[in-house]
Amino acid sequence: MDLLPYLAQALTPFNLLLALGGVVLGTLIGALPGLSATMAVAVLVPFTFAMAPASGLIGLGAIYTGAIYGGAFAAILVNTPGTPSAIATTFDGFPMAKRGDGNLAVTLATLASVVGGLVGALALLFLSPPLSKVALAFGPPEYFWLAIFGLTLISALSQGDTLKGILGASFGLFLATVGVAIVGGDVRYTLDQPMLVGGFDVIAALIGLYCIPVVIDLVARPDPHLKVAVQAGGFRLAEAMGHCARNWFNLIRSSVIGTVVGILPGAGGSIASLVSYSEARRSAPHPERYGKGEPGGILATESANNATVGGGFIPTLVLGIPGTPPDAVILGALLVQGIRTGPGLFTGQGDIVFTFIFGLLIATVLMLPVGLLIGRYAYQAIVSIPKAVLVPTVAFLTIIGSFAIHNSITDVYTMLGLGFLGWTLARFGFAPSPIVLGIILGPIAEQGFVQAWLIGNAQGNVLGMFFGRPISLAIAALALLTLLYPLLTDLLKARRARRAGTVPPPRETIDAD
Amino acid sequence: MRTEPGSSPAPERARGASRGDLGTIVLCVLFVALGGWMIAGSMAMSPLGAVFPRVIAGIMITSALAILGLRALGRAGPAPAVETGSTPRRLLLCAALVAWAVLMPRLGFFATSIAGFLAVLAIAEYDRWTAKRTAAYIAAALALVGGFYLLFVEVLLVPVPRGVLF
Amino acid sequence: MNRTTPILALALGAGMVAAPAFAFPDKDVDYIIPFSPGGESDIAARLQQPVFAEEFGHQLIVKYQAGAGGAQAWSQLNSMPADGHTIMGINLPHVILQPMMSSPGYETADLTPVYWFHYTPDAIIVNASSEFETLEDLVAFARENPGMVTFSGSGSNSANSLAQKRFDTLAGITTTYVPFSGTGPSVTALLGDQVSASWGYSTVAAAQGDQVRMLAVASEERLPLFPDVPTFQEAGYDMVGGAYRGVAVPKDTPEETRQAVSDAFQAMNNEPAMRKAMDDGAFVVIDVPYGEVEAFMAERREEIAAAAEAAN
Repeated sequence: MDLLPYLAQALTPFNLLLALGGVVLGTLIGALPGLSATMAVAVLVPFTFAMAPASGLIGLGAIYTGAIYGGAFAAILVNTPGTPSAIATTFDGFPMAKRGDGNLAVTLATLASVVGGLVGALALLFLSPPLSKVALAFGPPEYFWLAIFGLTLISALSQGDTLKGILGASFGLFLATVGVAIVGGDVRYTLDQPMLVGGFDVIAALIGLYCIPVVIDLVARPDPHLKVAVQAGGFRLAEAMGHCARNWFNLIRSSVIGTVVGILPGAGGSIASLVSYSEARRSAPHPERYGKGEPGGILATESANNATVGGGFIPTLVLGIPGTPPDAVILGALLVQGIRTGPGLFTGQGDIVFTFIFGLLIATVLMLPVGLLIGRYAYQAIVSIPKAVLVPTVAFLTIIGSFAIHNSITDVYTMLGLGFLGWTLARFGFAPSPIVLGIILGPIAEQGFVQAWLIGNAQGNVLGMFFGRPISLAIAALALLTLLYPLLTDLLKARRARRAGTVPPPRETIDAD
Repeated sequence: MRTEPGSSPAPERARGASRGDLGTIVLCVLFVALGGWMIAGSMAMSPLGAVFPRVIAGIMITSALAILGLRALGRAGPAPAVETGSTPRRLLLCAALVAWAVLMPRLGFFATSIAGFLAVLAIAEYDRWTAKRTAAYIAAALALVGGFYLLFVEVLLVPVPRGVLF
Repeated sequence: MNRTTPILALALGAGMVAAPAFAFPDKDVDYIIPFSPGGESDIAARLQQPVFAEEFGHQLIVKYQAGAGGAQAWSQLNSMPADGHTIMGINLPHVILQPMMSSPGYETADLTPVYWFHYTPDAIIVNASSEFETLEDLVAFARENPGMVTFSGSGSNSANSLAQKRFDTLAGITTTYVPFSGTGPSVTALLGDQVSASWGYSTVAAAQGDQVRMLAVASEERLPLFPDVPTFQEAGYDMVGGAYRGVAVPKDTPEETRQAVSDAFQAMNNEPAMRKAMDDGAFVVIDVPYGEVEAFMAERREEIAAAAEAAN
């Protein structure tokens, strides 16, 4: 198949302008807490109706990919993930910014996003039809095990006090059960309040649990928000490249994880980045550095979440099933334009599809200069803006951002309530991440479990449903490995040391190389 | 993270740690109660709807009791960070945020946001107020709130509450 | 509502007072969709957008207020500006089922639908590779193996789950309904052979093309897009219905404005381009203007109550 003519079509000045404008707009929107990629894409859909289908798609794809990337800014610089996909970016991004490496962290995020975006888009270009089978191979039990796998991350996130991590996660899981259950239709724990029937919104909870404690503690002391590294200015591009080279396998693995998770409808960028973070941490030479400002952590999460963009388009275009919520909007736009998705799309309307994919690739590449520039100004703005202005700005964004999720004041109350609660809990050693993990993964785990149980029961084989399917078993094994790996390595080290007749050196000395 | 190494004398740190311990114990007891309430509430649900709440409640109660048990045995986890900084400002901020959210649908989005922005700004300001600085802050508030207002209302088409003012 | 008020106003010669009630639309109209973008309600609104602009010279501005299966928006409808320039999408069976099953913050009677413009008929859809070639195959298998046939569908206490209960009763069979969190995941499960069939709408079959096969559709006549798919009635099951979509206005909207909104949607529905777009997407156009809404709602309520009762 000759793809070059499509590349030429994607390279028209108008399409390039669209890709550039889309990436800039998307990055800015993604950087604001509460403004999601879905919202950005939905608002711009009507404008694309006046354009040729491929151009419209390029614009939407560019905004989408920019928004996923932009989430990293707020995550790194203010410790407030702009989008759910950027949750895991806060783990190492904010510690880096705190110690004065904010510009390096932003550059790392940019490079990782470009790599991840390219891997996802290339998979979309060359491997769409075979990869779309992955979406279909994942049934309810696989989603159940995937969610359990994600929950094993708690041991990594709770830093020292695993019991509190588990307790926090169970609280998050509880919050996720509030409202009308998708499966079964029970009305659970709503205290007869209509405002609770819809449950707690994930984004509102996210903004509350991450942003409000930050704001509360910012007003409590006069010292500046971030430490400014005097000696290291600029992009620190060479340094970042060095980290990328050292983490090349981490980058590729995270991008592949992102692509595959993106293909799964209902999983999305948050899970992709969490899973790849967990894998990066598990296989790193110094896992204990993760969570304290390790560049590898940012590289893993940001490459993974941008890879979900390309990955998510695979089932959208091949099967007509949106892989992520923004894909659903774009699919709707396609339908309105009279384009039928499905296996025939690639052969029947190749000019649109391939032009679009090339447009997405171009937009991803444009993200590098755009991201570096915006990142530089964002960093400078955050460190130079007086704290007395920064605090109300963040507060204002949390309020309007949570309002804009559903255009409802209810979500603002949820956000504030959980924010105050989150601050109190954090004060006594309960980190916000396990709670958020519980809120995100709870519904996936529950729905997968109940659906698998219903289907297994109908076939008279409930156990086979959960333990008789190869993919399920593989994910379950991975979950077990993640949980036990730190224990195993310690045991092995101890045994090796004993055999050598020496006392195992304490961890601190191993770290200090 | 929130501790200031070296700046807080030892007795204060010890007192802070025991206060942290007390807080943890209170929270764990609350979590046990929440777990119990979840199980009680799950009795009225369909079997499929009740499975998850019960499992979660079980995990919640078990882990909370385990933390309490470890404390009782004297094997406490790392002591939580001691809070430093201005508690009145924290409380004022929380009050300002709540007022912001509650008044927004009544007074209107723009008016509340300008007021809320300036209130939070005042709470976060530690330096002396000069006429020049005050003017700059008011200008910043107008520019930021106005800019985001336009972005949300005109570009993103968010139907913000209008209220009685604007 | 006092019906004589506008007449009185006219009699007083105060055209100014009554003018807003008659001039619809005299500016852009906010069209609130109580669901996330990308769903059928959104697609329908997007199709109406250009027709509205052409017909009336003003824009239909689509805004989303998703949450709690639509309840979040519907519970707020009556507090919105009642000048006809704020309208909201409204769906059946949702607005009848939700107050029946829980307390969503509104009652069905609180809502003021002014026009119902289409429905997407319920349909049984199987994977293209399925052993069930016809509806009879499926029913025969289900009769011999009670509970073995699994249907994926969107949500519990939803249009899909209601359709499954209705059909089980009509055909005298027992099947297993597996609720998913939306049409997307439900169709994924079908395409991945995780379930034997799916309860969905004709639109799903239209979107999935030849990856799936629709066994029967709950419309009165066969759909133009699927001339070979029989209706349930043809197959001997008296089942017509699905998810109905329309528009509602805040309750304080004057009678004349309600009628004007209704007329506008009527005019849009009459557009040949609109009809064609609807046919292509396997929507079934209906026309229930303001005057007939009450009778239409009463009929649906009875139907839904009966089905919900059978379910329990």
